Amino acid sequence: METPKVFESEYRFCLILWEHEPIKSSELVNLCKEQLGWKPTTTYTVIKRLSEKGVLKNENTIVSSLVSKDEVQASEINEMVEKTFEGSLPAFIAAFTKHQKISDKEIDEVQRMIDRFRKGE
Amino acid sequence: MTEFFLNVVNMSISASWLVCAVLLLRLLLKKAPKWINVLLWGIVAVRLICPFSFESVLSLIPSSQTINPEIALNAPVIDSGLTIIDNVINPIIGEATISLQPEKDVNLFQFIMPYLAGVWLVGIAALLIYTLISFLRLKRKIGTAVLLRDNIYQSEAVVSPFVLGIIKPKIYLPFNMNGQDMDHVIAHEQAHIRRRDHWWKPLGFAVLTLHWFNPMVWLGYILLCRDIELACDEKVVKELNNEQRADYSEALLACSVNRRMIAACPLAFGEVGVKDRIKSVLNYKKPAFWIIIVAVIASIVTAICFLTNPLNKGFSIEPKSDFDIYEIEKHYYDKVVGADIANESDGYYDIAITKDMFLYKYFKAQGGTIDNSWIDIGKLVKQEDTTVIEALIKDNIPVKYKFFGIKEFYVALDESEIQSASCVIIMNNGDILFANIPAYTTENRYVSNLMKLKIKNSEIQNGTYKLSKEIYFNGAYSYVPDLENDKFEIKTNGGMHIYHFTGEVLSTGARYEEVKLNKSNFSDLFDNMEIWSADINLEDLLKNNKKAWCHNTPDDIGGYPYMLLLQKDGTLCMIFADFENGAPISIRYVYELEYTANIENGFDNSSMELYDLGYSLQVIVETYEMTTQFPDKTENFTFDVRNGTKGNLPNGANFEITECDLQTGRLTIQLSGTALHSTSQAEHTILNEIIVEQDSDGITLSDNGNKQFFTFRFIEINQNHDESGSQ
Repeated sequence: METPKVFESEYRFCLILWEHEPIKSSELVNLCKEQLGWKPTTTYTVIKRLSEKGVLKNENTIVSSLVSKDEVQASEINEMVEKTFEGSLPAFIAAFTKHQKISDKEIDEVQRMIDRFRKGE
Repeated sequence: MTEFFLNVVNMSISASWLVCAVLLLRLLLKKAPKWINVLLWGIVAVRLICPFSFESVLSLIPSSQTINPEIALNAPVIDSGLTIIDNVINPIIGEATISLQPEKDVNLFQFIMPYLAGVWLVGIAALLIYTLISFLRLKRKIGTAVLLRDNIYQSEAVVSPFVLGIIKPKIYLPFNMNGQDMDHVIAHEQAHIRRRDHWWKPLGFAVLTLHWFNPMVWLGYILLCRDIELACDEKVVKELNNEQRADYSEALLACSVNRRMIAACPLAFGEVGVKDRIKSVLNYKKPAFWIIIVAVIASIVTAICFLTNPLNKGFSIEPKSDFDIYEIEKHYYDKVVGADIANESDGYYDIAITKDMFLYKYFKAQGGTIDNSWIDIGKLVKQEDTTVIEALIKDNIPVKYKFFGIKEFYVALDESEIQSASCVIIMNNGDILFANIPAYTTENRYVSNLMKLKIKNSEIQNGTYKLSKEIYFNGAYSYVPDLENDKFEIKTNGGMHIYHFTGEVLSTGARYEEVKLNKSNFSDLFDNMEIWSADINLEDLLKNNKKAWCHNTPDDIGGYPYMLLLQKDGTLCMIFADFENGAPISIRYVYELEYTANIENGFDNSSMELYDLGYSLQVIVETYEMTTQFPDKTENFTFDVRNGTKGNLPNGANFEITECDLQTGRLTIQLSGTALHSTSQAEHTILNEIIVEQDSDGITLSDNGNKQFFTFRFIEINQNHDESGSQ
């Protein structure tokens, strides 16, 4: 079976699981709150998601992993933030997002600007 | 709601001038710290949401009320403060009409206003819903963000760092940032939080939703976002040395490079180009102290010039035509009834102000003591000192008026011994209040009524109508309206007047009062449910009804035009009813009315004499002749006319001595004045009698109320001409 891919945040969760498994889901929730800052609902959602992916199993409220640390591909997946709300109207986000279509040429230009500055020009 | 919308539009227009000024200032204050720019946008925001303002001569806003809601809805005209704009737009909106029914044009401007208000509301709702949905989706995506420390989280869903949250703001970073970059980014986001940008930006957006239709506001918002970023950069970079600045710039660059994974990402509103930001960062120099001072002063001056409104120039209570009629919109205080009164008009009156500033009242009480005529109260005289009236009314006016203050006030005093005053008070925002103040000239004065006036408008086009569609017809009667020759003339200034012509002969003409339809005055009078036309019935008439006017004291005859209905779709219906003992007992016919002509073209001249067109401002001239006697009918004496031969009567009319015969001693005096009268009244007089009294010194003229108004002194011709003169 192909090793399931997990997101980085899910990976962090798995680290906790591997360290404490098998563990009651309620205790897992507490650990996640402490170490990850997750709300209980978030933890349960992740447990459900990962169990669907086949990464762990949750039987009678005891959670245990189905794959080992080595097997899981530490994620290089970044969940793409959809374009619809990225930097669009939702300025309710005190979103100091900085995005712009910056071309290679511009990147080089800017880098040169910075380098010159470092040299004290 | 339409009025509220128009107020928002006015605020938007006022603010647009301010945006222009801010744009200019931003250019001039390039060297000033960027937080000044954010401050300037703050001033713009205040202008966009605050409806109240002070008037000041320093105001640079061309007009605070480009579209006056009352005027716009009645006689479309704008006052933008720039004559050029007014002259182009006003003719267009004045003339633009839309035909709803044949021969019945409605002004386009007035017609679409409510629809525009609706579109505005829909726009706001759409923006808010879109924002809400986007917010919720984002929240969901970053639900699994992992706590790094304090209030900083990391998530794979974050590509570009941001702050989220208004009460407990949290910083969200991507995973895999290198340590140095991360420090700078965190410093930047924390600077945002310290500057409270997580409040300003949403607030700005909220203001934007209200003014979404104004491109200047969008421009302001975009620039606000840019300025916030730049101000934030400055705050961070201030503390950094050159090396650190270079690092900071690289962090900025790195963040934007990451973005390249995202395909065509639209340039977001308010986001500054990375290149420009880096340039600013590298070139940042702490601004000289004096520049900051100059910038702050410039901001204060801008605030004064643009947050205040221009003096209400040109607003005047003087009627533009012969007279203006006002009705009572709200009661604020009534000493007899008590402070809390419902908005009843019974027992109250309409008010007219004529071209020469005379005040008249028309009492509306049924079967009133005054027989359908205007009562002359007196001439309105502008008072310079408003402290008296302010003290009198301050307890009874709504809070907003205390804020606005009194702009002008006029008093018409009656002629009794204890002069009571009728006062017209104009507030700084253009509202007109009216107060009755008994014993005004004494220390015991008090306010007996205080109310707000509003110009009477009419939704019905004045003119001639004939009967068109039959809606309800009881054929049992011999008198049947004649579709060809029955005409109605409706005239609405000064109240609803309807004249009924049958074959060019005036059969009835009267004033109708507005009523609410109910069972006893309407529904129960339809006693035969089978004689309705196929497509309309009683329920339809009621449901579609907007306003109704009823004849109050008709004669006891059958088939009388009893009520006029104005329906929501603009149609007019005439109701004919039978009467007994002055009350309607059953309805005979209901017809729709169809407009045929303007009032001027309604009837030929022969019939003009037969009826009363309502009210008009009459110019009355009366001449009196009297003979005086000189003490010595020789040439030794003459009249001292140093003070002229003209003057004013106490009631304001003008008088002039037109002839003065020294031989015979005959004086001819001409009185002229204007009065608001129903044209059906036969005679009008200015004065009933002039009394001439003569003694050895001269002649005194007084009116029949024994008020002297002129004195002619005799002087001996050969004597010094500076003997005591006349009054």
